[in-house]
Parts: sequence; C-alpha cells; structure tokens
Amino acid sequence: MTKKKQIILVRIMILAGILLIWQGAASKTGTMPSPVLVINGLAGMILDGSLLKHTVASLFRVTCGFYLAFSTAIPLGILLGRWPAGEKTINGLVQFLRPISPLAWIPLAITWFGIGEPPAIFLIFIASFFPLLLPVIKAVQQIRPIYFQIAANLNFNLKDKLRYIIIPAILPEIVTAIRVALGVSWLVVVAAEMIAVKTGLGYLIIEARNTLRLDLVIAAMIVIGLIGLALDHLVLRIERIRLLEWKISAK
Amino acid sequence: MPNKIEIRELGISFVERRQRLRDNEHPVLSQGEAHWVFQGLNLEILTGNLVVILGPSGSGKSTLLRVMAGFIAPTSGEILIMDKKVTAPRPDYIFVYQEGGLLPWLTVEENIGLGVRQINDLEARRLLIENHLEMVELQGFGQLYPHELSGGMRQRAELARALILKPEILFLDEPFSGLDHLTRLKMREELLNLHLYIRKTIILVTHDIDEALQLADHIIVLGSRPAELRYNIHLQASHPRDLNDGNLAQIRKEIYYHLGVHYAL
Repeated sequence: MTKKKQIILVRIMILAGILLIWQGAASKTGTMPSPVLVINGLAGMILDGSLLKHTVASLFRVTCGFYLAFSTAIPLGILLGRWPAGEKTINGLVQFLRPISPLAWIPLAITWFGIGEPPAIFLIFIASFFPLLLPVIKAVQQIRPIYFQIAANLNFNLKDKLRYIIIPAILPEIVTAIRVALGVSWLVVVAAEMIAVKTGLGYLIIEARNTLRLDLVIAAMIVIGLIGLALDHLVLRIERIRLLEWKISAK
Repeated sequence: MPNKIEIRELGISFVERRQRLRDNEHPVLSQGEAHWVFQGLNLEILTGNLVVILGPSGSGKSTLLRVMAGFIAPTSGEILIMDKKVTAPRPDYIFVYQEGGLLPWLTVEENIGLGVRQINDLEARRLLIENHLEMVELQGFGQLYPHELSGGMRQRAELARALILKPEILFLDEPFSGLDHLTRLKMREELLNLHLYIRKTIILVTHDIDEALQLADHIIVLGSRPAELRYNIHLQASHPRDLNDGNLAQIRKEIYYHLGVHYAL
C-alpha cells in the first residue's frame, strides 16, 4: 500500500470513529441530534435552497468587507513601509487597535451603520484590515535598499517602482496575509450575522437554535468548516502561480 | 567642455551609525561620532578612460564611487562630470553592483529591458535586448531567472542592463569579487574588450592589484582613513599586458609599497 493510500485510510478511520462516538452520544443523551438527523437536515436545506441563499449571503459580506480592507490596507501598508516617520507615528495607534477583537466593535457598528449589510461588512473590514496591513508594512521595509538605488539609477517613477520592485517583492507576503485575513473574516462573519441581519450562515445557526433545531445548527457548522477549508485551498493555489516561482525556487 | 571628471575638495563624513552599516567597507563605530571618510580629496579623471581605484579595506573606495554616482551627497566639496555638478543618480551614469543587482522576480530579458522600458515599439525593444544579450554572450539565456544563472553570467547580465542605456560612465564596485578565479580572469578580458568597443568611461573599484595593472588606463591608490590620494598613475602600455615587464613590474612594486606591503615581492 502506498503512503498516500495509508493516509487516506487513516482519515477514513478517524471520520468513522468520530461518527461512531457521535452516534453513541446521541442515542445515550437524547439532547444531541444523531448524524443521520444532521445529514437529513442538511439535505433538506440543500433541497429547499435555503442553504445556498445563506451561504451566498455570507460569502457576499466577506467579499465586500475583505475587498474594502484589501484596497485600503495594501496601499497604506506600502506607503508606511516606504515612509519610516509615518510608520513610527502611526505604529502606536495600530498596535493599540489590533488586539481589540472585531466582535467588540459590534455595538459601535450597529450605532454607526444601523441594521443590515453595512455593520456586518464593517466588522469584516475591521477583522481583515490589520492582518493585511502589518505584513505589508514589514515586507516593504525588508525590500533590499539596493533595488531602490537601481530604481533611482534607471530613473523609475512611482509607477515603475510599484510595478517592477515593490509589488513583486511583497507578493509572497501578500498571499500569506490574504490567507490569514480571509480566515479571520470567515470567523467573524458568522458572529456578525448573529446580530443585525436576517440572512447568512450565522443567522441560520441562531434561527435554528431559536426553533430548537440542533441538527440544523450542526449542519450549518459543517458547512462553515467546509467553506473555510475551500477558501484556504483557493489561496494556497494562488501561491503556486508563476508570479511567485522565483521565490519558491530561489529558496 | 572639458572631457574630465573633477573631484574638488571632497569631504564625506558619517555621523549616523545606520549609514555606516550600509557600507560594509566600514567597521562599526560608536554612534553619534563624526567620522571622515575623505577630507579635501582632489582628483581628476579623463573621460573615456578605464580607471581603477585601489585601496585597503575601509579606505572608502566604494563610498567614493557611490558619491560619484550620485547616491551619497558629499559633506563638503563637489564633483563635476564634464562641468556638470553631480547631485543625484542619473541614467547616463550607471552603477553596477558587486552581486545581486538583478531583480530576482524578473527574467534576464526583463531585467535587461528595464532600461529601455519607455520604448513602445515592442519589436525594436526586443531587438535591442537581443543585441545586448549577444554582446555579453548570454544569447539563449534570456528567459531564465537570475537564480538559474551562474555568478559570472549574472554579472554579465547586469553589465548588459547597464550598457543598454548607453551610459557615459559605468561605475563597477568590485564587480568580480564573487566569482571564481578562472571566471574572474575571463570577465577581466571581456571587460577590457567591452571598453575598447564602447570607449566609455569605466570606473572600477577593486582590491586586486593585478586586476588593476591588467585593465587600467589610470590607477588611483587610496590610503586608509581619512582616505588620501596615495598614488596616481596613468598607464600607456598596450593590451595584453605582461605584468612582469619592467615598467609594469616597477609600478606594481610601488603600488604594493603604497598599500603598506613592503616585502611581498
């Protein structure tokens, strides 16, 4: 048996073990829905289209919030990375804001943006802003000064510097930062949807709890996990494109 | 217009520790202490010459080169290149680095093409790049990334990137120091041929005395800090040169003497 097959076999065994324990616990306590029940619930949500609707709603919010964060954090990070005085000035504020959980912003988000999409998108923005900003600043600071001397020698303007030096140099770090930021966004969106909105996987969980449908709660959790996994794989794929080839093979 | 580069009463001092650390010629000194690399240095270089600057480690050879290229502003005095004061780096005075001056995320072709990026005619640009790849004997290697090349090939690619700009002056900071002995000898030969071909000013910093004797039209020897002019000689001997020839052997002896090595020969 090949190593790969062995790993797959072990994975199947672990999954079977979990299902077995779960089934055992379910039949013993009676409060926990059994795997069959959860799969049934999941199938029901798939068939009536509600699962798709909620998933799309959640992904939409993550996309909006993440793009907002991406389009502000990357330019700001490049600016601060190239401007030591500015970075020093703002660093204290950044380090102060960074450890505040995005969830702590919920009350303010609702006060400022009311009910509906805007506060949820704002929370995603807050959650993904710092994981994008800080690695970019650091990556820009670590670009070899020699490259900027070359830029001066070859008469590069700002656009040339961005295109030929800064962006390619920090691309690997940006991809890693995207991975982290997307992960955090996906964590936060579920919490954000438990307040203020009437769609999304977070709303689905709260709604299922209110109607005492624990099977649907678990079904939604499974979907959240699977989508998180898929997002991560998607970004990992980007890491392998040709743009980053030099970095991978140079190491 | 005088065809020369004039260094007038040049003084360079570093105060900040950070700036000194950038230059690996200089050992770290305590912070805040002003330290003169040069004071009142006067020098004249004829354009079109291949000039070699020699000196012990820490004599400020590389610093002098960087000041001439406009990367470091002098603390006092000035440098005039054909009557124009040097104030900032310019595309007609190109600095070639010891190693690793190629952008690792661009192919050799793309690196060389950086200097002609404004040319909109793609075909003309491709031809120009192709010509310069040929000039440094790298035809067929254009699609590779720098890390896929040997040290000597990288150095040649960097030369090609500089030459495509048709610079008036090439500044080479110990260009062959990272190469093995045989490659060094070969690169010297190529540099010499290149100089005979393009007839532009090349100013090269090295600590290899034989390299200087073999290549230079003009040798400048700097003493240690604060660096002063120790020895300044124009060489007329034709190439290829036999370093054991009476005149060159005498010059070599004198250079050794000025670098503080008295019994080496």
